[in-house]
Formats: sequence, C-alpha cells, structure tokens
Amino acid sequence: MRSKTSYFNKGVFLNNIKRFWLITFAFSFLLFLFMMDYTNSVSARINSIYDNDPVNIAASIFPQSTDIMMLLPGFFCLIAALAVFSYMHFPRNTAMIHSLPLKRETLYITNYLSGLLLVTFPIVLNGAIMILAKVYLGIPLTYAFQWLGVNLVLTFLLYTFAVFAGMFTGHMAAQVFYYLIFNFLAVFLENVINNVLYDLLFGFYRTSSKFDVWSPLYHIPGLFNGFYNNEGSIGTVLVYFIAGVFFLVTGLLLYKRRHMEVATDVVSFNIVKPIFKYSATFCSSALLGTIIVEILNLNQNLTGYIAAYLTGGFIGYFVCEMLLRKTFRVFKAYKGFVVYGLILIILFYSIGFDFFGYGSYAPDVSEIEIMYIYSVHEIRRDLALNPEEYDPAEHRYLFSHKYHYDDYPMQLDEEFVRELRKLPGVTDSEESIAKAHKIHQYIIQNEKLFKANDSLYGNSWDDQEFKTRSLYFRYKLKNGDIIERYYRRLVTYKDNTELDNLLREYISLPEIRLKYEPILSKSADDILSVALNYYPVEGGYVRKEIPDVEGILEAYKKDLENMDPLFSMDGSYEASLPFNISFEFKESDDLYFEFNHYQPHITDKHQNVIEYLVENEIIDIERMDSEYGIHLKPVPAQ
Amino acid sequence: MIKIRDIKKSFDGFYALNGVDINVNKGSVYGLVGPNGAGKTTLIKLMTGIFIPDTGEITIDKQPVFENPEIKSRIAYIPDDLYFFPQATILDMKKYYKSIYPQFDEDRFEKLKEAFPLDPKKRIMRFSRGMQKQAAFWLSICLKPDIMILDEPVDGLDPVMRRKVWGILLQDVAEREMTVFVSSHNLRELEDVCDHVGIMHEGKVLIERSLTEIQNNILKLQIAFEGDLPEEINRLDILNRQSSGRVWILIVRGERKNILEYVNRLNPLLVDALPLSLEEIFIYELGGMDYAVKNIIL
Repeated sequence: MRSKTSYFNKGVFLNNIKRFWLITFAFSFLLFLFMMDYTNSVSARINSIYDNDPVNIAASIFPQSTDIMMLLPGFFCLIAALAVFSYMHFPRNTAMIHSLPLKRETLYITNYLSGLLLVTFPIVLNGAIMILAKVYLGIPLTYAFQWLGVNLVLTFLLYTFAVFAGMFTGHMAAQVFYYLIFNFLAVFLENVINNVLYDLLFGFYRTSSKFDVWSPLYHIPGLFNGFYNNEGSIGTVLVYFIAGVFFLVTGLLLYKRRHMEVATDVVSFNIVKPIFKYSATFCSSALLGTIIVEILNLNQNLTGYIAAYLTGGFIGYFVCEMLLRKTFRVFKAYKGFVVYGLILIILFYSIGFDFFGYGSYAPDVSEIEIMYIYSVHEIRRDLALNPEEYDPAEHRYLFSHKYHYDDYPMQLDEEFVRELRKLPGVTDSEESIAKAHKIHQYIIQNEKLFKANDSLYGNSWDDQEFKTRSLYFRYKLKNGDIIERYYRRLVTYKDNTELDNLLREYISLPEIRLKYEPILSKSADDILSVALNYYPVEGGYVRKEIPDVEGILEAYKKDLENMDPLFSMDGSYEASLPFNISFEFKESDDLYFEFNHYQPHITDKHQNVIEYLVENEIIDIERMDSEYGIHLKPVPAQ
Repeated sequence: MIKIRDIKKSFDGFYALNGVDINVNKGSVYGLVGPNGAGKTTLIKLMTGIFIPDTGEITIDKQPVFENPEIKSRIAYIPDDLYFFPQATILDMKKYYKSIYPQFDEDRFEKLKEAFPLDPKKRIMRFSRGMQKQAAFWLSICLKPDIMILDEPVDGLDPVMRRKVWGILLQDVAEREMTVFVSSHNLRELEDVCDHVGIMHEGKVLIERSLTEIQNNILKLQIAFEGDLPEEINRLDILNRQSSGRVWILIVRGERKNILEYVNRLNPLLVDALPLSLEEIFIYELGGMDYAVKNIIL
C-alpha cells in the first residue's frame, strides 16, 4: 500500500498543535493583556484635550509595544522551535519519528509550519483585536497593519533562526545558547571590542552601536522607533524576511544531511566543532573577562586585562571540550588553548603598546581642513565639519529652534553650515588649528604622565589635588577622512597645568574666544531685554527686568575680559550664584543663542555684574548674605 | 527480500558496522544475535532509515530504504527503548499512526483488544515497561506491515504475553508472509521462532544460515579412548574440548555424518553425538573470536 509522500503531513501537524497548544495560548493571553492595556490608553487619549492627535495615537502602538514585543516573540519563538523539533535531541524520540514513512523534507516542513502557526497566531489574533478597536475608536489603521507586518516578519525570523540553530545541535541547552548568540552576538562583540579599545588604546573613542541591526531582538526598539516616526526601515524588515527565508532553506538542507545519532551531542556537524569551540572560548573570554575586569577594576591594567580574558577563555575552552567529548578528562587537550592564549596575548599587547600607531597619531596641521576640540563628542559640531552626514530623520531635532517639526530641510544649506561652524571649538583657521594640534601633540607625548596621574588620582585620599578634564578632537582632513580621538580622563596636578596653559593659549585666540563667548560681539542694539532671575527663599520665581541694557552688557563683557579664558570652557564646573541673568536678543541666527535667548551662569567671579546689580539696587547684598549665605565681595568705592 | 550489502557505519571514527552483508527472505523469521556492542541496534536503525550509512546499501525488494516512504510504510519497528508522546493514550497514538500509515487496520485494532488487556484511554507513559511493549505490539500489528523489525522485543513481557505476542506474529508470518527481523539476547526464544540466524561480532556478521544448517553444522561429541586422545582427532575442526577422566567432550564444527564416520575409524571406546542449543552455538562460535566465557575468580 502506498504511503503519503507529500511535503506536508496533516497527522504530524495536528499532533504538534495538540501537544503544544499551550505555547500559543500563553503567548496570546499575555499579548492580549497588553492589547487591553493599549486599547485603554488609546481610548483615554482620544478623550483627552491635550493629546488627542489620532495619527500620533495610532502610531504609539510601536513605542508602547517595544518591550513586550522584545520579550514575548523572543521567548515564545524559541520555545516553539524547541518544542516541535525537541525529538531531535533525544535518541529514542528521534528513532520513533525517523522510522516513520515520511521524508525528511516532510518532517521538517510539517514541524516547521506547526511551530510557525503556534507563534504567529497570537500576533494575528491580537493584531485583529487592535484593528477592530481602532476601527471602533476611529483611529487610522495604517500603523496597525504596519505593526502586524513588522511583527510577523520579526517572529518569522526569530522562530526560523531558533529552528535553524537546532539543526547544529543535538542538545536543547545548546540550541538556546545558539539562539541567544544569534540575537546578541553582533552587539556583544561590538561592545567587547569597543570596551577593550576604550580601556587600553589611548585616545580611542567609543561610538554608538553600528551593528545592532544584526542583532534582531536588540534592534527592536530602534526599528519600532523608526516606524513610530514615520521613518520605518522597510529595507530592514525586508532583509529580515530574506534572512528568515535563508535560514529556513539552509535549515532544511542541514536537516536532510543531519545524522540522527547526534542526539545529545552539543554540535551535530563535525565541521562546526572547531568553530564552536573557539567561538565559545572567545565569547567566554570576553564575557567572563569583562566581568572580572569590572569587578577588580582592571580597566587600565593591560596585564590584568590579559589575565582576566585568559581566565574566561580557559573556562570556556575546557567547558567546550567537556561538552564535545562528554567527559571531564579533557585537560590533556591543552594545546588548542595555548595557541588561543598566545594569540590573545599578542592581540592585547598590540593594542596596549599601540603597535599600529593609533594612539600616537595626530594628523599633520597641513592635512587638516577643519576640526573641533571640545570636552565631549557633539553631533552639531560633527555636522559643522561634515554637513554631508546630515540625516534629516536623525538630526532634525537638533535644530528644532530653527525648523518646524514637519518642515525640516533635506540637507543643510550653506548659511546653516556657516552657523554651525561658529560653534565653540570648531575652527578652520590655520592659526587655531595649529594651537589645537599642539594641545593634541602634548597629550600624545604625555600619555604616560596622564596615566600615572590617573593612577595616583585613583589612589589619592585628597582628590582636590587633581584636576580632570576630558577632551574630544575631531578632524576633517583635506582628503575627506575623519579622524577622531577622545581622552576621557586627562588627570593633572592642579598646580602643574601645562595642559591648561595650552588650552588657555588656544581659547585666547580671538576667533576661538568669540566662538566661546559670542556675546562679546553683541551690542545693546542687538538685545531686546535683560532680566535678573532668581527664586527667593520665600515666594516663587522672580524675574526682574534690567532697563539699562548697555550697562549690564558692558559689566558682563568686562567680567569676561577680566576672567581667565579657560573659564569659558570650565565655567560650568564653578559654583553658580542663586540668580542668573538672561539676555533676549532681537534676532540671532547664532546657534549659541538658540531661540534668541542666552542665560549664562553667574559666579562670584562676575564682580562687575554683581557691582552693577548692587549699585543699581537690583540685588541687595545684605539679603544675599542673610538669605542665601552668599558672601559677596563689597563693592569698591567709586 | 531484504538485502544488506557492505554496510559500514562509524561514530567518531569507531566503526560500529564494518562491512555487513545480510540476506533475509520473504516470510522468514530472521534472528540476529551477538554480544553487547556487536552493532545489532545500529544495523536495525539503518534498516529502518533512521541512520544514514557511511557506505553500502540496504534494499527491500530492490528499493533503498533510506528516505523511501513507500518502503518504510511497509515496515513496523519496535525498538528496545520505546517512545510515545508524553500525554498520549493508545487511542491518541492509534490516531497518529493512522494519519501516517494509510493501511492501518481498525478492525484488527478492535480484535486485538482481547489479546492486550490495556486501557486504551489511559496515558501510555503511566504504563509499566511491559505494558508499553504490549501497546507497541498492539499498534504495530495493526499497521499490517510486510516487515516487522524488532529490537529486544519481548523484554519486559511476562511468559504468557510472550507466547501470545509470538503467536500473533507467527500467524501473520504464516498467513501474510510477513517477514520478521528480530534482534535478541534471548537465544532460547529465538531458537523456537527463527528459521534463519545471523551472528554478529564487532560490526561484522560471522555466520548467517538457516537454524537447521547451523545446528547441523556443529555438534557436541562425547568420546572416550583407551588412552589419550589420538593425534588424528585434531584433524577435526574442534571449537572446544573438555575432559572428565577418560571421557572427552568435544565441540566440533562440520557435517554430523562425516564427523561420526571419521571418529569411528579411530576406534573409540565410546562415542555419542549430541545436538547443540543456539545458546551453546553462540558461545562456542564467539569463543573462537576471543569472546569466550571465562571463569573469573574473585
């Protein structure tokens, strides 16, 4: 009698659904609870008088469901894949299933489809509930369909990969491990490499994640935010779908070639064993190594770093050997670890001793087209250097004072770039570049001094002895290359500030000075009003107009001229007085004065401003003393 | 019907099967015996299409078994280590098998209720090992297979149930010419049911003949001479020799008639030829392959 030879077997399919329906039920129920909560919040917002924009409410499904859609499909896709292919991991189950008159294709496709139904049904069901709710509440449906589509693709990818991961192993725990690796490997490796370089490579700047798209679960917040902002990356969703199809087909090919006696083996294909062993060793090195480094605070210690990573690698390597050989007697196989350890040591030394000259490199002055030096990395200054980097979706919020939410430019015009280049620290003048370059050279040449100071600072009881500052350098070279260096902890003795002198020299340059203190170029005619703002001990916020604009402006300018120019850079570290002055400009394109407003910190170093305010009885020096405990210097006699 | 040609199967470099050749005729009951680790279960898993062979081929009616649902639907396999879905009852399993084996015989299932006193609505995992074996037989017999492959089939069954099961199987052999391929260590039982026997050792088949041929080809000779055993006796293919006074017990391989003629020419005081059980044949044959029974003194 002929048996059924199609690629789908109804009996196996229904049997899986019958056995594992609880997965679908639990997933549906948890998602339903979220949907109820979401529908409630939507209903409340519609009736609100403050926040009832239907489009915005409809789009809010994405940010609101980010966490739940990271957790639920991430978990249930794995569970479904483990369940429907669980037989592969147990010899007797495998024997029973594979003795049936079914082709391997039939088994794979039928089991795959049953699992896919288990995880997609809850999304479709709850998507339908959301659509019905939105129809009832009269909210646009576009986002609901987008949400449904994106989540179905994500679920398809996650589930298919969970199945694919199972093809490489005969062990459920290993399948879970592979699945997690897939979802977090890219960001994990990126972070590990960034951490090591950040700690050991002088001047290395850790940029934000560029590889999170390769870690689908990790990328869900970014992906959902995009759709919320109407900038959803259909391309990414499409790539995820194609990747899912790839894993599905590759999974089938692997299943057809799989030897069923590998049930209980951690790795089911011999060719993959060394890859597994050394990858897991590296991951263990990185994970345990990082933990040891953080616990023992070995961040700046090359030897400590190597020891921590070798310890992590040692554990990972021999655990892998134990899993692969299914015995604890694996220590004779030490040669592989010795080779791994040597490579690791060479790698760390090459970073720590800067074999590739990264830390000692600063571009030649003649090569530099434009640069900025600032305490931190800052996007607007990046755009000043390289306006081509402007991405309307990502950067428009930086200029909300200038552009309306929906009316942002697709590229930065020349005028705007000119404004950006007025930002403090940005310069293309040869003289300023030469001074900034001198600072950079000094830092590079004194790497050991800064590190030694840092170490002393860490062990010192009196941190007042030291001064720490961070400096970020970004160069755009004439050939278009971008070079960046970041020195997060440049520790100096307070009284020995060669670095401060160099910075002072640089900031004292008229061009730089004016960029840090653009008010120096303003006259009373540019100013609409000036006011003193403070919170008295009793009563609420007080804003007192200062009618003599010219007088207060001159006093403020005089203070700036008298002050150490470094104050412009470090001012924010000084203790401010309990009041400030705000300048409102008539019109200013200067980015420093966003929204035509400027409100500097006032400290006890602003003697001319204080004198002016006292003389003109705008503040009462005695009240300052009694009410705030601020002891201001007496006003010198005229 | 079943032809196994030069089958090799290795696990991590160790050859569990190293060139196995077997022929099983239609309607026969073929017993596969061998020491632990000989490769019997591996061979069965290859015959049922579970494992992929390294080399060689297994065919049934000239068609390969592996990835051949048509052939596999004619096979019922009862492993030593049974597996049923965790929550399943016999009725659930029946439904499952019915969806996969179109020839599943519902009438037989009903008729066999008498033979197997099991509650078909009770979870199989709650059954004892012997009851699970009964359930496996119940379901497998209903598939009306052309070939029944059994690995340690009656382990766990009580003597009455063993007879009952073998009775049903042999009825199918007689009526439908079903072929039974059985691997077991219970040689006494195999002796009762098998018509052909293969002996495996270290991944190879040492002997493969009909049971009658095997039993005719080896005999136990009780013999006594005036003095010591004459030198000429060594010309016989003696597998084992033991003496008690002047009486010698020799296990000799060869044709019964030829052996007796030869021995009688040596003028023995006493000569008697006794048949060997399958168990004795197994022990003496493997004794020659360095798998002899050894007396261990503790």
